[in-house]
Amino acid sequence: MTMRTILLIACFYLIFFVAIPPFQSNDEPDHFQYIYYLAQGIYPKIPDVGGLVVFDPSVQTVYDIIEVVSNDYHVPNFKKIQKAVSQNIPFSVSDKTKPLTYQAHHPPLYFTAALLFFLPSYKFTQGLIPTYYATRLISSFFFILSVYIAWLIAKILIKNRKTAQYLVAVFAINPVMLKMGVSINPDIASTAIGLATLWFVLSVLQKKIITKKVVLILIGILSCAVYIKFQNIVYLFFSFIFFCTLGVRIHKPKRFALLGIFVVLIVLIIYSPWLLHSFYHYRTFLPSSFVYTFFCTANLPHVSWFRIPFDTLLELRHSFYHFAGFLGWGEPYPFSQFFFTYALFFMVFIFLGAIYVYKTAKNLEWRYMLLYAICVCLFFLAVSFTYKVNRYSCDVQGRYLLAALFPFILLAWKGLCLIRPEKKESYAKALYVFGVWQYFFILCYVLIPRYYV
Amino acid sequence: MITIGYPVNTHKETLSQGFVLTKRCFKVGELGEYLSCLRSQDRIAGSRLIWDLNIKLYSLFPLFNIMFFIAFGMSIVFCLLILIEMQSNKSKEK
Repeated sequence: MTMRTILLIACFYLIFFVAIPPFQSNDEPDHFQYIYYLAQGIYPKIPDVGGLVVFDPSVQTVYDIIEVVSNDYHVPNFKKIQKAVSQNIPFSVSDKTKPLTYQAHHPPLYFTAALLFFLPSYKFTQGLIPTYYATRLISSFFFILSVYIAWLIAKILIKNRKTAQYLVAVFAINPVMLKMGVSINPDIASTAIGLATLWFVLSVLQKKIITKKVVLILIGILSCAVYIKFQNIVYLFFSFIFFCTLGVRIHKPKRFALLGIFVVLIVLIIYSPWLLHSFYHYRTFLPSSFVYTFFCTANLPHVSWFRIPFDTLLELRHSFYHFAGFLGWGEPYPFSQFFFTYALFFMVFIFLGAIYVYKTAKNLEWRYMLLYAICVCLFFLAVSFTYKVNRYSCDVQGRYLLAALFPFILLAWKGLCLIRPEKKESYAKALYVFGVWQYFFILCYVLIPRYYV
Repeated sequence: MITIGYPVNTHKETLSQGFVLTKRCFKVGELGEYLSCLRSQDRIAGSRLIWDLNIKLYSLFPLFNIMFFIAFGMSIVFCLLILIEMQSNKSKEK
C-alpha cells in the first residue's frame, strides 16, 4: 500500500479514536469491568437476573463519571470527565462486590490480551480515564492486524495492486470498522482472527500442500478464534468444508474429510474447558443465549411459521444499515433514504458478485472467500432465526458481521465490474472515493453531533 | 416546522431542567432536516462549534483537541493528494 493511503487510514482512525468519548461504545463499561476483574485475578460471572439494576456498583461509578450517553440519548458530561481526568479518579471495586458482569458470556482471550495494556497503565496511573485509553490500544492492535490481513487477502485475490489497495482502504475507513477499532470490544479481535482464517486457507490453496505444520497452525488460529468469541465456531465449519472440497479436488476425499474432522475435534477439545465452565455455572453450553434472554425483550408480534424464514433473511438488512453509518447502540443515524439506498445497492452488487464468483470456475480462491462469507452469514441467520422464533426485539448488528465486511466489499466490487469489466480499477476507485465521502459524512453529521453539539 | 438539534443537556440536567434541544443546525435525522441544515445560515461552519469542540476534546484528555485538528487537517491534505494522484494516473493512461 502507498504511504499516502496508510497515512490517510491512520488519520481517519485517529480522528475516531479521539472523537469518541470514553465508555460510549457497545457494552464498553462491562468489557472494561471484565478486564479489571481479570487484572485482580478474578474470573467474573454472569448475573442470573435481568435488567440494568443489577449492574455492579463499580460500573455505576463509570456511569456516574462519564454518563454513558448511549443509555439515555444525551450528550456526555464533559465537566465530569474533565474532573475525572484532572483528579485522576480511580476505578476500583469494594471487597464486598460480587464479580458480576453480563459480558462474562464472552470467552476470555480478548480480555486477557487487553491486560497487556490495562495492567501497566493501571499500576502507574490508577486513573480511570488514562487506564481506559491505554486499554483501548488492544483494539488498535487488532484494527491494524485486520487491515494488514485484508491487504494480504487482497494481494492473493486481485492482481492489480492499486485496485487491491483501494478496496482495502474502503474496508479500513468504514465507520463501523473504525468504531469497533477504537472500542474496547471483542468484535474487532473477532474480525482479525476471521480474516486470518480466510487468509491462511487461501495461502494453503496457493501452495497446494498440507503439511503437519499447516494443520497445527490452523488448529492454533481456530482455537484463538473460539476463545475470542463463541460466534467464531463457524470457522470450524468453514475449515471442515475447506478440507472436504480440497480432498475432492485432489481425489483423496476420505483422507481429507477425516483430516477436517480431526481439526474440528482437536479445536473442540481445546475449547471444552470453556464449554464445561459455562455448563457448570449456567447449565448451558451457550452462555450468550442465556444473556440474550435478559436483554432481548420478547415483544415482537406473533407471526406464522411460514413468515419466519423470510423475516429471518430480511433481518440481515440491519447489518448493511449499520455499514452505511449507523454506529449502533443508541447512536443517531443518517436519514432513512441514505440507509435504504446504501443497503439496497450494496446487497444487489454483493449478490451479483457472488453469482459471478460461483459461476466462474477459474476463481477458486474467490469461491473460498464466498464460502467464508456465506458461513459467517449462515451463523447469523441462525441467530436471527432464534430471535424471530422467540419474538426477541434484538437485531443482527453490523459489528457481528464485521468479519465478512471485507469479503462483502470484494464481492460488491466484482458485482460492479459486471457492468463494464474493463473498468475494474475505476470501480475500485469509485468505491474508495465514496468511502472517503461516507467517512466525512458520518463524522460530521452523525458522530460529532452525537457527542459534541 | 422542522425541529433541529440534539438534546444538549446531560440526563440529570434534563431531569431537573427539562428537555432542551441545541439550536445549532447539525442534525440529519430526516432528509428534510438535512436539507434544511444545508440551506440554513446556521449550518455547521460556525466558529462557535469549532471552539466548543476544542474545549470538549481537551476535557476528554489533554492534547486530544490538537490531535483531532491535526488529524482532520492531515486527512483532508491526504485526500487531496490521493485525488490528484488518481487524476494524474488517469491523464497518463489517456
